[in-house]
Amino acid sequence: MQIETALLIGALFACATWLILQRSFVRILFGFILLSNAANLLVLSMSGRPEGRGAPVVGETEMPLVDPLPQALILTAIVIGFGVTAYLVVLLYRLFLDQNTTSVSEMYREEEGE
Amino acid sequence: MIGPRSWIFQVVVRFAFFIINVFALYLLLRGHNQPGGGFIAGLASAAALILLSLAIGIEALHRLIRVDPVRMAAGGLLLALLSGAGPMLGGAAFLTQFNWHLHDLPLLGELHVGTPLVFDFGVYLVVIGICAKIIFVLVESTEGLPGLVVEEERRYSSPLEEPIEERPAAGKEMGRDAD
Amino acid sequence: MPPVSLLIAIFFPVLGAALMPALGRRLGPRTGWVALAFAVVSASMVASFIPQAQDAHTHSWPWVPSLGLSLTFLVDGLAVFFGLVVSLMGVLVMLYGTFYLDDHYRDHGRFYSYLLLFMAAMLGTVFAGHLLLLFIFWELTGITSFLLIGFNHETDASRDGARMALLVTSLTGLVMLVGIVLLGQMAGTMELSELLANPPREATGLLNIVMLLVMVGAFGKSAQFPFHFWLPNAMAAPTPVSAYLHSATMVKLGVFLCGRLFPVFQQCEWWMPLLAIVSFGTMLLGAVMAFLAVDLKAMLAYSTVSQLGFLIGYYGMAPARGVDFDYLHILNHVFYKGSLFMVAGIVDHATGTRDIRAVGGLWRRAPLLAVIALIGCATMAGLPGTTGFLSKEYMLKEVFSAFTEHRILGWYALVAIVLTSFIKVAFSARVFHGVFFGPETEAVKHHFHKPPLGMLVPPLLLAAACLLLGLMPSFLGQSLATLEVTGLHNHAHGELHLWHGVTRELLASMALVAGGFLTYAIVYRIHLNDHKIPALLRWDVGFQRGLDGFGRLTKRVTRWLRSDSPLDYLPVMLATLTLVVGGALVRGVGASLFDGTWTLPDALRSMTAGLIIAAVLGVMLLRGWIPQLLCLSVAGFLVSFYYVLYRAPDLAMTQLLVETVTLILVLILLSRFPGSTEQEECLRPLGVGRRLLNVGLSLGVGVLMFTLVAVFSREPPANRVGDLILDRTVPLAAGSNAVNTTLVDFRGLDTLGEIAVLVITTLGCLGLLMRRKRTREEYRAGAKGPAGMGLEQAGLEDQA
Repeated sequence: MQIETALLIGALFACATWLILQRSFVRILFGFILLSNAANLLVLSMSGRPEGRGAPVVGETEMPLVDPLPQALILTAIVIGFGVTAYLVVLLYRLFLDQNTTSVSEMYREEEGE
Repeated sequence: MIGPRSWIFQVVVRFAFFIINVFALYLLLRGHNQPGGGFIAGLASAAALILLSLAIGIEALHRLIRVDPVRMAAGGLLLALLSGAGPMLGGAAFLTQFNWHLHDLPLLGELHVGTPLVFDFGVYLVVIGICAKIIFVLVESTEGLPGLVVEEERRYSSPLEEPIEERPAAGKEMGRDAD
Repeated sequence: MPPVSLLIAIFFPVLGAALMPALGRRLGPRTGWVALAFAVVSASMVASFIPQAQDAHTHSWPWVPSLGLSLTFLVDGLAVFFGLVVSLMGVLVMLYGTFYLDDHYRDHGRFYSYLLLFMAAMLGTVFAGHLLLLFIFWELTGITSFLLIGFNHETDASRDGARMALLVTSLTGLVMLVGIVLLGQMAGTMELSELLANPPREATGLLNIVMLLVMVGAFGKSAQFPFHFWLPNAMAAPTPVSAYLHSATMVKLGVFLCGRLFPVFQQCEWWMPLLAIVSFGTMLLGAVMAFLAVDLKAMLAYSTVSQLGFLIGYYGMAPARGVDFDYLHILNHVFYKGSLFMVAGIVDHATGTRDIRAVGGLWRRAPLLAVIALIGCATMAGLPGTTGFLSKEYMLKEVFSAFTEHRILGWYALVAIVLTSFIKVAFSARVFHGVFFGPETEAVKHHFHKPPLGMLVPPLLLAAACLLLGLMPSFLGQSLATLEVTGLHNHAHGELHLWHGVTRELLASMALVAGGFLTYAIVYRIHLNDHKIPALLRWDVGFQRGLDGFGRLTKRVTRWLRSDSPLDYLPVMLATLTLVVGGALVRGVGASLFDGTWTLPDALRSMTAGLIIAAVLGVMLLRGWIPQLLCLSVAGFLVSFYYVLYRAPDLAMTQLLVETVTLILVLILLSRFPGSTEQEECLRPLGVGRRLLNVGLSLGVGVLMFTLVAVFSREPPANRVGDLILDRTVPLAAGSNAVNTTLVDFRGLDTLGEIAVLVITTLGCLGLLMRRKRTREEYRAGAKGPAGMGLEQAGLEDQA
């Protein structure tokens, strides 16, 4: 059992959830970035304890190697996460231009008042 | 967000730009056997491009690098697709990869080349393209989104984009305006 | 004739329809001549089936064999009769349209394309030999009718009329589909030939419901009460369309369906009451409204509704042995209503108005037109010497006999028919007198221009048919008798005669004519033209209001149920997730949760984890965006170090670089937001309740994820896919970096999909920034318009 990783992941998820539940666009964005980090770590924790294992490059060491599959998954997840973050950034910018606010509740109040 | 346009900074960044890119290419080439690969190399190159753009400005960068990053990304995607589709001509399955080992090369020593490298190069191009484009577009938008819109529309828009409901022929709309 | 000519008859117009748009661009108004050629070919193909129409033939081509669907066409007298009406009227309307749609109109190609498509759909409907095929063509006629009514889509009236027609006919059509499917289930077949040969032997129960459902479709199409309101609104269509679709053909589909399914439904106990009550009621209502309307085309439309009511009710009252003279009544209506519609179109064309109050005294300027209208109106009124007279004679004869058979319903029908005939005479007098006599109005004086002679030809032909066939009843009767269908028609009826001696029908007819004229004379004196259709009868207005109200209602419901504010839906989602997954976890794992082997935490990893948590707390607790962002970045960089500790150099490098680029990206974004918004956010925190909820939800999610990781990382997995990859990375993929070989080789397709997603994401980002809604002024200012975002930003800075 990797107690420290489990704690870290739990803390990251909790903080990300808290941030996403805020009103501000910026905090939601931060929460989203944290959330993708937390999810990546969650997948990584599935590869088991790394003690006594080597990086997944064959032929470098005699030790058993860690599981490469979660790493490959996470690698794509990081890059996709970047793409989604970028989209979110542009989306928030566009929302700001249209609605002239950075707050979710403001945005909906304006729409209801129309 | 345009960084300080000092001479020293520019020179340093220009130098760093080449260093990072050479390093990125190294990461790309060795990726199959050592940590590295298309994603990492692409991100590194994109970071170098962004750094350069901060130093010399987007306009200068546009003059320096004529190809639009989106086209670069599209080209990369096409390259990856073609490298995957190539084996289909020979009857193999889509994305079948082939490898060859080259020995006794100058500088690099032993190198293996193969279709995975082509595929990885496609990934590399895509990653550079998308990172650079998003950052450039956002940076350019400080200097006036209007100019950016005109520029990008000239490049990518089609007549179909014009809102249908506002075609001048719509008699109702015109009539209502006249009221 | 080979059955292939049937395919030609139906699908040749489709070919024409495909060609028309291209031709229309070159030929302009002359496109009509080409369309005419297509219609003539189609009509001649239909006509070639007359000799073999005595017996029913079924022609079938496989279509979707796996579904048991085939293109089955049934050729019998009824189909050939309606096919002839459709295709010959099509020829006349194309001819008429060629003159009617002159240079003042646009898009001739589109118009004739729709018209030919409609013709094909109509022919398909009448010749269909399979219930589903019939339904498909039936709905196609509705769609083409929608396109034709909305042809002048720049005007409100056209759009509203088209929408109303489509909604009414297609919705009733859907009800009919339910009936058709049920009927197919009951009878065990959907092939019309088998169905007509062996109708379901059940007079009550389900068959009544089926009949009701199917008849809703027929009523909708034929504008019967309560769907009568759409037809007058469909008059926004160009007049050739009105003459073709809305008097002669499409609205007759309901009549056709009654005739087609007569052998199946006749035994139903609801058949006669339903058809008689609804249709004769509609007949009377339509006649009254026709008399009260002022728009020439709307008057004719209401009169069409009335006549359709009679035609459908006629099938309802028919005895079980079969009907006698339905073809006569239908043909009579096609002749006079078609010609009157065309006359109305010519009046509109020549004077620029269709308001009967705004025209008058036209007979001096257009004598030939007056003669045509005179014959048309005389036929409508049923004056002797026209087909109308024959029709009325036999109608009265039948209703008198029905009256003895059916008692109360007979009385009802009798009263309705007598009243309607009476109003119709007055109405005919009003149309003719109002348009062609009286003083010349302003519109006539200033706008009149002589209609082209060719435009008069089609109505003249129709009027001539009224007159000639009216004078040769035995010829007409014999021709129609060749098309009669066993099961529907009573072959034993006598021949048509003009003169039966002085019978009660003749006397009644004469009395009605005299009374009608007298009424009109009286009404004319008291200026009926100032009267209007009472608001109670204007169902179309109610329908429009209902439609608008429906739109508002849906909007309100959507608002009420809206879940697009994350503040509203996220707590619900997160709470559900926590409860469901957490509950499952507790149930599944329970007390054994902490039984696993406890190992001491690694010192370096624990320290890094602590630092990450500290940085993340900084994101939460620090004020100001830039400090928060820096904390976030620190956390990201530390995560990359955590990857190193987990022996993942690729991940560490990627994370490092991505974190850098993300930092720059978010910095650019934050620099866009004015500082005032940041301060504002600090000033307006969430409410206490909301904050407690958020904290509770966050803790819940955090504990849940902690437990998940703790449970699932208790034991190292036994069979790892990763080991397979490690074993084969060198022999199969010729690379020692298993992560990279997974990405480019083993799971290459995933990577390909991923980079495609990345490209799409970028295009989406570009789209978000590029595609903005321009204001009308911006749009007017030029193809690209002045840039609006600059203006908005300038305004923003002022506020800041």
